[in-house]
Amino acid sequence: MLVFFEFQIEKIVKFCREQYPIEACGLLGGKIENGVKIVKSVYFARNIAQSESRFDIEAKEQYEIIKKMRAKNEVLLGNFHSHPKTPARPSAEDRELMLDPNLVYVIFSLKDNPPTFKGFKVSRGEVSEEEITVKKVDYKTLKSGGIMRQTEDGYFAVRLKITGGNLSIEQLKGLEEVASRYGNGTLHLTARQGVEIPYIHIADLEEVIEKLKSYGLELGACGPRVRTVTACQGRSICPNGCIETQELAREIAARYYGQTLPHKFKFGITGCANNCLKAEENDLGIKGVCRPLWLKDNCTACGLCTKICPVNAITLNQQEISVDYEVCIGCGDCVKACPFEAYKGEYGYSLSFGGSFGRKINIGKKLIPFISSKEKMFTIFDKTLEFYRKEGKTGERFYKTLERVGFAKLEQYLREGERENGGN
Amino acid sequence: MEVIKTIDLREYVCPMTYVILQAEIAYLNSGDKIAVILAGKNTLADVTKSLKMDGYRVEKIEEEGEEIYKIIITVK
Repeated sequence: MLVFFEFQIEKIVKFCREQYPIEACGLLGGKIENGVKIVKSVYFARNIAQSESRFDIEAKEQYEIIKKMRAKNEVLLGNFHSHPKTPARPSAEDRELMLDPNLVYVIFSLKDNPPTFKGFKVSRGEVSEEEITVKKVDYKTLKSGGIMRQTEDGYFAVRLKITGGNLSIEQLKGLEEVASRYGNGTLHLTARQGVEIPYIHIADLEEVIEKLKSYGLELGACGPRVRTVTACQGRSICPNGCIETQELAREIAARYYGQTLPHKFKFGITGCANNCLKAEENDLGIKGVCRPLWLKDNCTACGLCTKICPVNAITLNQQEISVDYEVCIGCGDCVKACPFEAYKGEYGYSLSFGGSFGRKINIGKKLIPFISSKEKMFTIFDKTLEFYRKEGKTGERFYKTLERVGFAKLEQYLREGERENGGN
Repeated sequence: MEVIKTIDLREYVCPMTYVILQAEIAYLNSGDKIAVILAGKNTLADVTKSLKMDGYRVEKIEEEGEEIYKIIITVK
């Protein structure tokens, strides 16, 4: 059996029509799996006979094509030629030229509209028909599973599910193997800490997916759903970190990744006020923050905190410290620098909603300035996605929904959710 | 104990500020009291956080001018 993909047939038919009334010809390269020949590349050639009833390809050109196939790890599967005015069946001369039992000879007839095509093989001098299957390519379904069509027909960039930008060495080995064996030997790092493997041929997709799976790599998500969760290194690695971002990213991904929504939806986690991971550009941004609680007994009123606070939220008045929490950005510098341990840092999360950094830019709005309970935060996430599903129109980004119905409506919805869950 | 040396780090920016300060401290003796002059809020925050992480205690802080600070520490 010989397997074509729909776009290859379209490409060949177009070429045959262009060559009309001369016979068009070319070679087919691909791979053989369990005796099935799968076409990966179609190579057009020049018919040096320039005839309406026979074709011939120059030896030099055949050699050039074979070299191209070898470079792509393809084998010669057969050839094709057109019959501009006669049916798709081999002529006496065609029969004479069908010599190799390992090849499939495909004839496209332009006599009928739409054109017809048939495959032939030869065995002990006998010519018989070879079955041809044409596979359709469902680009939309592929895309929803992280497989994106490239400019060049038949090739795809495979997006992987990576959480918080973390990969193990084992996974890197898998990427190396797939990119060098099936791709073009390169990997692409996306803007959201992901990895894409370009130049994967449709004929290799299933094998690639299996291979990736064996290395613990899953496909990513595209389209209107919860996307890659980004995160910085977080508290256990970065001295500035206020929260464990990686652990949180994994939890969020486990709970929401790939869920379908009116449009794409991005979670992003940044461990502290330095905001390396740009919380506010996400549909739901999470920022680790530190709320300083003054411990009067330890304070010597040295005033260091009042001087280092980047937003002047701390004032010292007659040995009394006061922190303006409305102004405080939660960087925790006062806690970290205080020489006398006169602050206790309470760590938590600050949540912003409706960020977007694509065609239109919107900075997420900080609706929840401080929440310390992770459990309650997850209730807020649940409610937020529920709200978006309910209120968002298909194809409408979250911030657009919020602009249309009002941020207040979301706030009210979240407050109701809080009451249902036993209050704060 | 008197301040035996004043180290002026106003011309440096992070991370050199703290690197130079560490290099200066390396030539001093344990117990020496020093003054460090720093420029800018951010530098003050970074240096004081780093000092605390390295086990130093800022004993005193004075504002010498517009965002110019003098801190006093004792060499370990």
